[in-house]
Amino acid sequence: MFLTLNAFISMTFREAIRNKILYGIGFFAIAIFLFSLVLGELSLYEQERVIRDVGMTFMMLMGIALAMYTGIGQIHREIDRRIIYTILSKPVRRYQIVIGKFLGIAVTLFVEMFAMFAIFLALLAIRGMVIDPTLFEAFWLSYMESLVVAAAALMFSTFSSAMLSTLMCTGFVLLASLYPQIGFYAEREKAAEISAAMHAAQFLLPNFGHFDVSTQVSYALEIPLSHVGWSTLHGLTYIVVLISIAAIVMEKRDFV
Amino acid sequence: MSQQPIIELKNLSKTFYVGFRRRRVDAVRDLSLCVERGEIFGLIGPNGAGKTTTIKMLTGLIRPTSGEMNLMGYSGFDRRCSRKLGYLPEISYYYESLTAYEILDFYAKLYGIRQDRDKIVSKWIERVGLGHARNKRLGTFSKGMLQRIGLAQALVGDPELVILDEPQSGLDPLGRRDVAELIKECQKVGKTIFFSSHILPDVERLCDRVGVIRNGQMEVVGRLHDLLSKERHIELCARGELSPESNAEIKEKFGVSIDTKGDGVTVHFAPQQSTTVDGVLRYLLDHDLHIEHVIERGIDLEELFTRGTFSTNHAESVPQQTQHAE
Repeated sequence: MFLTLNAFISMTFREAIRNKILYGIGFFAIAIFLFSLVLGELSLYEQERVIRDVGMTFMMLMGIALAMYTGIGQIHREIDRRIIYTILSKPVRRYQIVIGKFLGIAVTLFVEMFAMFAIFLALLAIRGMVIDPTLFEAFWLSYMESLVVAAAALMFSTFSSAMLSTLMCTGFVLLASLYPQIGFYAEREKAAEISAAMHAAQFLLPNFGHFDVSTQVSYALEIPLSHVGWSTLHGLTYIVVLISIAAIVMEKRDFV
Repeated sequence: MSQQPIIELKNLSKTFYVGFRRRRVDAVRDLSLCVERGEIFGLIGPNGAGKTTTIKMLTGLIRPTSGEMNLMGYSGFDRRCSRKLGYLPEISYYYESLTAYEILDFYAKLYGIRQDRDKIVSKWIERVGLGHARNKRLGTFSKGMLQRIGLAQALVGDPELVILDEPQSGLDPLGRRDVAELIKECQKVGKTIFFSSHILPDVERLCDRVGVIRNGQMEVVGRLHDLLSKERHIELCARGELSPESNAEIKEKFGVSIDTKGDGVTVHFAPQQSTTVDGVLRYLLDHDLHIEHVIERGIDLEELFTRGTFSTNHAESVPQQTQHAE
């Protein structure tokens, strides 16, 4: 079991880290961080706030983009290119493939996001700006958010094409980001069916608002550890559900 | 060694429903087959005959719609039998950014190999002739090199049963020879090889038995020698003038077919007519024809296959097949 998982984790990580597209993203990340410094220079008295806000928001967005790209690519490419045939004929359970792939993506995302975070911290340090625990907590929550997105991407890619998976995953991210608004409009909606549908969507979707601590980051406010803990639990619950669905789909399907 | 067949299929069927209108396609119908331990079995058939579907059922990639499958003593596709199974799919793609060593190490881990994994992986890289490309990424490999990696991943777990779907496709003559040698070597160490191929001379050279599948149904299964020997026939070539009356008389009396071209006469004896050779020979000599040669002409698998009909006299019994509506 552990050897199998280890095989998937190391293979997924190697594959992802050697992908040329990721190097492009890395350069793009550095460019954006530098751009945030320029933006900070332009905003009088608010330099530090702007740099922290733009930098962390950008890292969160990059995390989501990387999670979608890596999550959809991993399973879908194996099915599409029939690599899965050689794997399934080995003494491997189908759920192990899903779990192993997810853990591999988790490690990859952590390394990629932490690299971005480290560059960002280095830029702050060079500019003599404060590096406080809030930044680390915000990084962790961004990482948790990207893991939920990766789990959703992995789940969608077990039963649909890359294009459809991307569309569904984008919809998932948008709806999860609009979670508080969905609740707000559900309360105000007069048509009972639409209101019920919105409540159902709220029940099914994760609340990405839990991971959004941009205000605290901008103003260097303290984030209670309990919030980080509960948000992590919230994310992990959805990850378990999404990965379980992906494993069930994999278990049921034929690979024609 | 157990006497139980390593593969035993009884009335195995697979039906797909394709397209928006869920059109029914019977990819494999009531297929029955036994493969004994230690033999090389070749599954041949035209494109779309059901070879790959059969192989996918054997390897657990798809589930049969009906029928029984017994693999290495396990009923159905049991995960325990996959420990003793090696499989090379028809089209081999692998992780392009991994090296030859890394990809084989990955598959070795999937087989649960802990001890001497490095040695085993290195041995197979050398054995398939990729020692020089050990640390090269698969993205830079030619089709033939990828096929070699495919073979190595199928064999790295030291399986009892090796299922190869078109193992020689994409290989040059030297590569094909290497693969043939590897298959023979595997048989020598007691492995059973089940493979499908379009390259019929290779099937003929390698296989102990073959099965021919068409339209999802097993047409014939048998020892290659038996299938081919049944199709051997005698040909007599003579030179001289043969009148139309004599021609008709020979045909009527001996039931043979005759080709005449100029002053050349060729008499074809069907396999069951070999006893009439003496009579025809005497007749031609009596009519002043000069006998050039009498030869036994064989038939190869390709000729037999393209002809599309098989004499089932020496074939093993293929159970009565039920007709399905398309």
